[in-house]
Amino acid sequence: MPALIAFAGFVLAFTLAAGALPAAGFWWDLLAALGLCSATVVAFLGWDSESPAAQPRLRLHRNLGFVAAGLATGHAFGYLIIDSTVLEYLMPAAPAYMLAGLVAWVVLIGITFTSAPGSRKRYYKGFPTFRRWHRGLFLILVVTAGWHILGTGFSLEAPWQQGLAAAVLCAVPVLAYWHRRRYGTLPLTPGPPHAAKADAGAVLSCLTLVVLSAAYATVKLLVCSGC
Amino acid sequence: MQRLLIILIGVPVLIGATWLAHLGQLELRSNRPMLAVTFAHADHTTVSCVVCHHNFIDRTGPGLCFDCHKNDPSVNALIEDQFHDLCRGCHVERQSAGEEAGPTRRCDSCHTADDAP
Repeated sequence: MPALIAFAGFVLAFTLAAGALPAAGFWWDLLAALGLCSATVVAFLGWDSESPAAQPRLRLHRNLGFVAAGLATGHAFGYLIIDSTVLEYLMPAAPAYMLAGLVAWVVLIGITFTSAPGSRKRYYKGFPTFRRWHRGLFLILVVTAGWHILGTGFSLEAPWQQGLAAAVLCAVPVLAYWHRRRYGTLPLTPGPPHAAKADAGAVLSCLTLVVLSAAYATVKLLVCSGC
Repeated sequence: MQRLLIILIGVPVLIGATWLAHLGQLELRSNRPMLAVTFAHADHTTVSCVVCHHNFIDRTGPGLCFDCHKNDPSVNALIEDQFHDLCRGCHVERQSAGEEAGPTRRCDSCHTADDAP
């Protein structure tokens, strides 16, 4: 969990690195940060899940998937609440990067809810099939979420920031693949559950990411208040 | 062999479908009604007229902005990008330079009924 929080903190700080980005108000920037945190959790789960260290943490992995889905849902519906004109960006004539964001949200919800033990058995023929689909959907998720973040240009405006973010996004599936090649795949049955610890870890991560997002919005408000 | 066939058929189908979707989207953009938008000349007196009214110097025709940008099929699919680049781009630039600027992010700050002078 500390690694995830550090990674999210780094990503948020990185978006501020190009200088005086326009502040758009506390709530607007908070919702933007929630979206970035959701993408960060997805990227983190992408490479972490294939490492042997993740083996006893499958429950935490699943819980963090729900955290990512929750943050992304807050990001999308929050905008619809504070600025209803955003609904225009969910229509078929919307820019492709916004439709990519919509696809990313749908895939994230799908990949998360079909991974819960009960529904996993209902939707997939076996664990290997599930794993294959899970990886495929994860790749679609990374591409569409990356397209959305880079396409809007709201968080990463400088070309060097966009280039670096694109490189990191490309590196996520490559790292996951490398982990799998090096350490082999996870066992077919989940390891020891550590249920209470995993649940508490996910709730704590979620709360910390929301606080981090609020801090981000406050910093932007203060830094750019004179603009 | 089966995988190769899927790739050989799937990739062109995917490219074709994407291209058709793109064309359909351009058509939708051209035909959809415009969102309400407000603009106050009084707030923009420090900006040179020709920054927006480019037709004064490039002789692309008289009339209002939307006479071409909304009604001319050769450019009306680009209306959102063009106006966002012009208006929002200028606001972002000014705000980044520490100057007073108009809305930079919130849609409903500009997309509201025009009752400004």
